[in-house]
Amino acid sequence: MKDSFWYPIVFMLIMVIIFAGILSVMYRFSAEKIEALQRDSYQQAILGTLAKAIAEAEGSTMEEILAQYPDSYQEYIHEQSVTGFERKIYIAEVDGDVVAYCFEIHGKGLWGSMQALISTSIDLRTILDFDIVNQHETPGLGARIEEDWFLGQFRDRLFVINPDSEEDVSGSYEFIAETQTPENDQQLRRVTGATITSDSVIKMLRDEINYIYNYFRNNEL
Amino acid sequence: MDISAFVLFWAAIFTSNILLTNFLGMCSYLSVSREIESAMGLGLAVIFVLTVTSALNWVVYHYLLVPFGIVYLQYIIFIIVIAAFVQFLELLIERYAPALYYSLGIFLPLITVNCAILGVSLFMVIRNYNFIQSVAFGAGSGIGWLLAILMLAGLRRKLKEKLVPIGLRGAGISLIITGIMALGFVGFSGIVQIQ
Amino acid sequence: MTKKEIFINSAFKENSVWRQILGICSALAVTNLMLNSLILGLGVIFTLALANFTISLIRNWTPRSVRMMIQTLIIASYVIIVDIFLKANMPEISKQLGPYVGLIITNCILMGRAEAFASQNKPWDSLIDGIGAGLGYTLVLIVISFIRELFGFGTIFGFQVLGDWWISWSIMVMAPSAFFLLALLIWAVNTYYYKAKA
Repeated sequence: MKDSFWYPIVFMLIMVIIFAGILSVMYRFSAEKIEALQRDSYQQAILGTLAKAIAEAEGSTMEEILAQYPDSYQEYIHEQSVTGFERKIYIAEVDGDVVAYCFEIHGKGLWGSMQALISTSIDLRTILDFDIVNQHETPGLGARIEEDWFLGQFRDRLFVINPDSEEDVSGSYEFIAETQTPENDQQLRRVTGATITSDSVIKMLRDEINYIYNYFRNNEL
Repeated sequence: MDISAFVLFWAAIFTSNILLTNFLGMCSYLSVSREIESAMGLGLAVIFVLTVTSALNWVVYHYLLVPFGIVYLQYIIFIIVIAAFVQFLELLIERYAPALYYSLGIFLPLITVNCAILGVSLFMVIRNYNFIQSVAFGAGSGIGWLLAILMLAGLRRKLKEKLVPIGLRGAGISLIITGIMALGFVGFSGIVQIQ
Repeated sequence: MTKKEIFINSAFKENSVWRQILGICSALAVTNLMLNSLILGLGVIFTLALANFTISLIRNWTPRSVRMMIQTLIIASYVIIVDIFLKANMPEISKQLGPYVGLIITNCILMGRAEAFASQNKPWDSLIDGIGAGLGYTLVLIVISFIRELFGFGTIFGFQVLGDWWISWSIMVMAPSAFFLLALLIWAVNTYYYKAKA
């Protein structure tokens, strides 16, 4: 029977059905949980970038706002879509006043695309916080851009230095070695051994903030 | 993505060599590089399989997996496509070119487990290539793999085995040679944007 | 062979990495940090054991012509099960393991053990063989990543061991160093374990 022509085909089909079936069941069973976990993780990242601004307006602390997730997210943050603007916007409001914006931005790294969240002041000129949510860089090398010391360099940074410029509203930046100390505001420490990935981050910020600032220069947010 | 397929093709051969930059396809590379003839045979087969399966998997992904929402099965489906194609190819060659079949021998089924093949399909999905880009990338990766294995086979032929310490002969020295080549290829990284 | 002999065989005597030269690709990518090596190693042990067991169970019904496809199907299924389970219950670990899930499926060790052992031996023996092969593989990964992480980052499992005075060896952070370290490991094993002589 094993040598007949149809046996292998039938056997193969049965096995595929069995295993695909097991996988589908497992997937359906876990799909909701996985989605919930991913949504939670994403929303907590958004809250993370806006927490300081919310805390200042409320007279509370960043830790308290973060600890009150998901209630704090529901209460202070809502998503806004603007037709023609191709990025997601999250607005933090306290007692009816907008305190900060959070944008989801995209860029290209060495191995794949990257996604990040930046929160800005209401005049869109200062980066309040910066968090990378998705990247495909080399683990242990380029992936270190997610480390706190690297991201922290962009925190509370006035990024739009030339607001009237038509080409590039940001200033110029120079990368120095990770082990050195920056002498001025224009110097940033790159990740050792990950020059291209570090450059990609700065390029992403530059391109995206130019896009955001130029769009809302002429339109209302 | 607006990278031309032509650029992708050349990048896949040199600057983003699937073997020396991404380190995929090592196992058969190390064992088959003992002789230049077998290396050539396997390499050519890999080029063919890579090009066709990139195309096939692209179609499967965009017309089967995505519309039916079963993207989580992509690993299985891709590798089944690859395994089925290699099996089919083996039957074809056995029937129509028996001389080729005997000279390729065991190398044909070896291709199924070549991580480079699945790797290319997965890269194509992550980097969102269109059809032409995928085929160009697949063909280029295959040629890049052939290039790497021929380099190693050539070096091993020239290597005076007597000068190598006993414990290092065979796999050990091949790994060191490959490591040096890989270091050289690190110099290429980032020269050409491939996504 | 007794169960113990099977285990010693697949873990040491016929170790998948240093003897059979399989599973190299992942050994290069993952060994920059010990934690990554451990995670991948555990994933491989789990998948190897179950896949070997299952393939052995159906070995008498599997026709020769679709043998490899069936093996691939079973291996891939178990890997995806691990992936889904981690994503739902241990999302942090899943994020770390993420890119390597695909690596387990094409890891030649799984196919290698399936062909060499599981397709010709009884299920429980195959299970032991799978665990042994996986452990042997994990051992190699841990050794290489120990050196790479220590000299490349100054840490062990993320804990800072070498102080600020240490200038990290950048080469240890890059993948080619794994080639050299693996070659040295094979050399050492060939000389001292197998006592290779001219």
